[in-house]
Amino acid sequence: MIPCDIHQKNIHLALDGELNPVQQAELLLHLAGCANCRDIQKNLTRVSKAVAWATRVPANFDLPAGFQNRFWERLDRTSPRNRPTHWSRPLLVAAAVVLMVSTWQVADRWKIASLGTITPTPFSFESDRLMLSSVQGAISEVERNQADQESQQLLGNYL
Amino acid sequence: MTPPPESFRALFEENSPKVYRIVFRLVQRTDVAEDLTQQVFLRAHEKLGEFRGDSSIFTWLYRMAMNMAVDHLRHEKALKESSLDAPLRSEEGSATRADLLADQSPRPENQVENDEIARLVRKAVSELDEIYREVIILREMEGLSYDEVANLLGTNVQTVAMRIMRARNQLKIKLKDLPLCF
Repeated sequence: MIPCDIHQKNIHLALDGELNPVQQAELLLHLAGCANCRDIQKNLTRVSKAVAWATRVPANFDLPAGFQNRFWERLDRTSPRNRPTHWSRPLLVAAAVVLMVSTWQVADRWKIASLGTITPTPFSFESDRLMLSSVQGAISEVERNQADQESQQLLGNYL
Repeated sequence: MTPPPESFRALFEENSPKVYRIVFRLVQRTDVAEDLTQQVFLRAHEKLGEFRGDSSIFTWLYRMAMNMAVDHLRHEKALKESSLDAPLRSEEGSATRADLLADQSPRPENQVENDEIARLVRKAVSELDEIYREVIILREMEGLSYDEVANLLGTNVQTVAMRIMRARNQLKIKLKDLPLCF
């Protein structure tokens, strides 16, 4: 005699159409005489039908119109090869590197120990030379003014 | 528009209807199903190089689709927000979810209750462990045989039978208080 737990496994197989005719006949015979297994079969059938019902699709279910075109457009928008960052990011990085190197070079050339003492290294750019000339001119003006003030003070003390 | 590689185009055209159908079964909204299906194929396009061929390409896509649909159900609570007026199809004048329920529901006298029951059933399915959820979806929803499920998932028939049995037993417990009239 086949025990109930085997029949209970066979209930699942029967629901899925996976029992052969002999096993099916044995199960039906058992269910006729076993209220517990009948109850289990009833509950499992209920679950199986509920899942099928809750997740059903309409008849002639198909992709919505325009689905594929919308996908290709979305792919085109989101694909990494089409993103603006794909080409602009390296350019931004390169620009940042050039800026950093330029700043470092200028700072390296202009060794400022204190106001009025600038020791420029040889220049390669015309703009740098002009800038240095204007700074040197301004410093000379300040020095001249200071010298004038000191002279006037000394002259005042003397007089 | 840059044309996609022909292999990916073929993959998309062959599998998108199946993926869309499976996703729709869980989310029951065409707009959400379309969005999730597109996300599946966008990810597939991005990760195609990482596909190792351990399973069939459909299994790979199917698992991505299931995970996205389940994430959607869990985090967005989409089914609660879904409306009976939400269109089943994107074309105007097409059937709504309410029409569908009226066609086939076991309790046609109460559509709102039916909708809630259906939502709870789908939620129960989405809460199963992945190994149980995938077999129950392929068997109960897609109607595949144990052999077909085993082939698709790269396992054997005995394992499929055992997982279906456990999945159904778990669902039986989860759904025991629902007024299902089947």
